[in-house]
Amino acid sequence: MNDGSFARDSEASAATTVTGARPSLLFLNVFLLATCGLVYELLAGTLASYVLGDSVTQFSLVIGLYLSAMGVGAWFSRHLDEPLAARFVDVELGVALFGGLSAPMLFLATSHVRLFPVLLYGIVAVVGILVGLELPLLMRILEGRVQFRDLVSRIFTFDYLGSLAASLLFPLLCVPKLGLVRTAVVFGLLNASVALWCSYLLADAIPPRRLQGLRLRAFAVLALLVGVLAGADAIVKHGEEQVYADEIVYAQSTPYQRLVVTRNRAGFQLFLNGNLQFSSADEYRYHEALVHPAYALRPGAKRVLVLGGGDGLAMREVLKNPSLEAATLVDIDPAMTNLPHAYPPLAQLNGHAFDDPRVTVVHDDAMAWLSESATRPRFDLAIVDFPDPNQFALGKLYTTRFYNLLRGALTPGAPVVVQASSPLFSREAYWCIVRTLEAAGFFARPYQAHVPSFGPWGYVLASTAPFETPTHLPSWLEGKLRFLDDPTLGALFVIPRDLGPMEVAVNRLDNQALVRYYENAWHRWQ
Amino acid sequence: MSSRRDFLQAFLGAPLALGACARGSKSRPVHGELVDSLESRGHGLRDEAVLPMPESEGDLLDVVVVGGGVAGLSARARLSKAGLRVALVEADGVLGGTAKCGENQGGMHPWGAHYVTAPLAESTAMVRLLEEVGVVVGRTPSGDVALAEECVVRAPEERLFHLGHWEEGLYPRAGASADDLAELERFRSHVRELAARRDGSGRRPFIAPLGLASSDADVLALDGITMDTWLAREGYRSARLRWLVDYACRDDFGLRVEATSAWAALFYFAARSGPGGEPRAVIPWPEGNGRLVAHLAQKGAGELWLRSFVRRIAFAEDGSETRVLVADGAGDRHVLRARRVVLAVPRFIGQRIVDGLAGQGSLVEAPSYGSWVVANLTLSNTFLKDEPPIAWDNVIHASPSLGYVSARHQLDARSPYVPLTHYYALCDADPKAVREKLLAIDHAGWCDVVLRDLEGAHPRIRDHVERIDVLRWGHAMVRPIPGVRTAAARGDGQRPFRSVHFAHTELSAVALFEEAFWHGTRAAEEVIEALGRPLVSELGR
Ligand SMILES: Cc1cc2nc3c(=O)[nH]c(=O)nc-3n(C[C@H](O)[C@H](O)[C@H](O)COP(=O)(O)OP(=O)(O)OC[C@H]3O[C@@H](n4cnc5c(N)ncnc54)[C@H](O)[C@@H]3O)c2cc1C
Repeated sequence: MNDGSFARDSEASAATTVTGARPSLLFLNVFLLATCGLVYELLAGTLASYVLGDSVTQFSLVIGLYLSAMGVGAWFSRHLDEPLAARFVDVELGVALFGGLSAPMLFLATSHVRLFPVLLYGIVAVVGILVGLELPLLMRILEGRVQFRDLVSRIFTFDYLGSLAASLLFPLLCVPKLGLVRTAVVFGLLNASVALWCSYLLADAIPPRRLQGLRLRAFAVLALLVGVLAGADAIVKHGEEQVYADEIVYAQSTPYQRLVVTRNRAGFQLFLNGNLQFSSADEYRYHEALVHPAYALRPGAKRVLVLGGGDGLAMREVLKNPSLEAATLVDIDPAMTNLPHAYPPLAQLNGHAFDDPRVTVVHDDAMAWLSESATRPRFDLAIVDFPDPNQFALGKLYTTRFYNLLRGALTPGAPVVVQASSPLFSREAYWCIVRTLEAAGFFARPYQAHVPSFGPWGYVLASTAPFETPTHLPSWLEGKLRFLDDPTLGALFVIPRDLGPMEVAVNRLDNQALVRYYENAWHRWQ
Repeated sequence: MSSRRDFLQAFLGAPLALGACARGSKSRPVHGELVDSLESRGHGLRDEAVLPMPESEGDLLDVVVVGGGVAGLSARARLSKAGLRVALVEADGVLGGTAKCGENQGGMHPWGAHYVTAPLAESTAMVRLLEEVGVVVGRTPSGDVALAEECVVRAPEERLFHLGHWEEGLYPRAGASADDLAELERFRSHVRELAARRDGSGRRPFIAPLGLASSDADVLALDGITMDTWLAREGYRSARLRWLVDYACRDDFGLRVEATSAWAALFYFAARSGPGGEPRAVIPWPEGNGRLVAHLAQKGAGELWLRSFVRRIAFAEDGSETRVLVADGAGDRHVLRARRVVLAVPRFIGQRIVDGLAGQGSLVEAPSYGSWVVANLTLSNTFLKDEPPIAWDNVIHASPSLGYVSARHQLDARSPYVPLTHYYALCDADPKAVREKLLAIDHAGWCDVVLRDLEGAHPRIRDHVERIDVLRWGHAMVRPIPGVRTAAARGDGQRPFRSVHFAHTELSAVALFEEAFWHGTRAAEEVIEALGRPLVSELGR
């Protein structure tokens, strides 16, 4: 490979000879090579769907490109001449190098929107071509040594078995245990070791002058990959991989955020910009605690407003109310409210909430939408369920300005609940939300629930009219809840000492105090 | 190539320019246009010959207002309120003058003035105006104005690209020594002390509009020296503080610290301080002061002559009427007859159009005017992706430009575009030479300067540019060099000349909305009085 030319050379006379005992070991190599090849392909597909979104398209594209590139390699193999064994080892080293470095390179390129696809498809094509060269070369090396019918049958058997191994190892062992970057490098190392081993197995078919160079190259590739493996942690830190310990089953980048759904044995999880939004295993705790304390204040609410909450899970709880006439959900991101379609297990989980005729979904910036409230009928209950205030674009949805606008959309005394982040992780941020609601003229009562995926989680129940802490759930919730009952409801409003009130500023558009509190907490816990 | 290097070097300095040309970055052409300015249109103002004034049979108006900037529009609004018949003549196709705004696919954007400072309670006319547009919503318990939260500049307000990183605020903080910080603190308390001063009748020395200011002799004396001299005199040595003060002078006046009157530079800081010395809130709109321009325009009534240039103002021998010769967009000439004229244009233009005005000596007769270039960039919102959160005001320490403001900052909108307004004040000593240099540069040339400048902080900005529109202000604003404030305080240039009353921000020696609004209203009230109408002044002095 390193001489860069596949031109026929004068060593054609160094005829390939392979001793009788070795072909079986070579078939083991076929098995290993097939495993490596498929792993690279799966890696590329996963990274593509993870970064570019739309996994179906990405996987089809990657597989299609890979297979056709293999065809190109196979076709090209006829132009390769003796010494075939040396060429074979070089091809292996090439696969090891490109395959092994594929995920590390792609990880470093994830933030380069334009570069990433070029690099991705480039690597897929190169690895495909090289893998396509493998089997034809090997068959020609073994030609005449093994009966042709045995040769074909064994080579393909081991090839397909290798693929099976890869398809099992990849999701079960590689991704969960090694992560994408290490998987690539480890298989690159395996691949390069196989190449080195072949240089011994096929030693007598390789001109001695070339042998030394080949092995030197093999050691160089091995050394390089070992180096990358040592640096893998650093690479991964730059990527998002560490955030997603589990298999990614859906990913999409929208103009507003990055949606990622992962799956593990416990269920599936939604991440927005890398932050866990819910886990299907315990989201019922979060959403029952979000919605029903407000219903306890206004069991007969007829018009309910949900801001954020595009996954439809809060809506599922809202719809349990038999006297509900209309529920409006405002979420900025159409891709978010479309997620139940794109990922049906979510539709199942939210009880097909968006198909309910009482539900209207609006795609708008909640702040802009609220500022046009004057022309709309008012709501008698509101659920405010935005992502945590980790950036200014979200921080504005927790300001006095926002809550003043919200008040204009409500009937007098309508209960409001605001998801308010973790009082443990960011105690200042939590109390800042409480104080901001108060500054905007609401009576506010903090409460918290334990959600295993998050730890203790904070909410604020508020209303423009004074109210008593609710002690009874609406009767119509009888038998419909898994987490809450009357005693639990009362307990939500008990705030442990270590989560208690703090001296904090009010969050306004011109100070964005909340984002700063939240950021500081983040730095503290890192 | 060599000419490109020349002007890059002229506007950005040698290192940046050489870098750009060495890299040979073949910049692809950028969409957009060069927006008309008074200078590029040329209205034959320099013609020496006095134009003949035709006879006119038209109606006799009460007042003709010349100039549709903030001063002219304020005068018109006040005159209309008094029930007078007014016509306003504006050379440009839109109203607003240096406070006008524009609009493209990225939304509305300023072409010049982009914010006002929250008015002090004693600035009653400004307070009332801002009440009308919903910015002032009441009073705080301490008697200060209460502002609508959505109208105040949002956090993060300003940031500085310094030593490879964005820092919050405009003071170059990274690497500052204890001495640097001590000087900064001393300067701040100096400013606080000036802002807290009151004369016998409770007036502050530094307040916009200056019509409400006290005239303490020692404060006026600051107008006798440059800021540079003042800093040295007061023992300020920190290079960082000097940078901050120099930036303030460039940003507000288009002057370097060596040329700015110490009075003006201190005014920048002290007039923006509240009663306790704390910084006043800033009120920006996506379209800049274009919001207030639209409001003032809608408050006034009467004929509007746009794209029409006043070429001459002549007086009837018997003093019964004033004739205003107007060249309209088609080149046709019209004569407007009026009893009084409000001249809301810079004095250097007034001298050329008002019969007999030239030679009526005063210090502000020929104030120095600086040139500015404003570029409105429309970026795709992919720009935001790999960026730390953009602030409203974004300044690059190593750059000779003033950086940019982003109109996007005040919006909730989900626009796919990010509008940036880039400001460049040409602070050179010889304004005339600079003006010529400036007008020789075309759209592509200026885009190159702007992008090259921004690349210092955003290396990949070119990838996101959708369009850039550029306006070259040949005479952007009056320059407060030493002595100008003293003349303004004497009232030079404000006294009416025959039937002509003067209204322009330059009469205060600093270019600010508050001053233009003040002088427009003041001139209108002079006219109301001169025409014998009842007057209850709204100036609150
Ligand atoms: C780039 C820039 C940024 C600025 N930023 C701010 C800011 O952020 N905040 C702030 O408060 N101030 C700012 N200013 C200053 C501010 O624009 C002025 O103080 C104020 O708006 C001036 O209004 P004016 O009416 O006095 O004058 P101008 O704006 O100069 O208006 C004069 C008008 O007269 C017209 N005219 C001239 N000659 C004739 C003629 N012969 N016939 C008819 N019409 C004529 C002109 O076209 C123009 O519209 C800025 C200025 C510039 C240039």
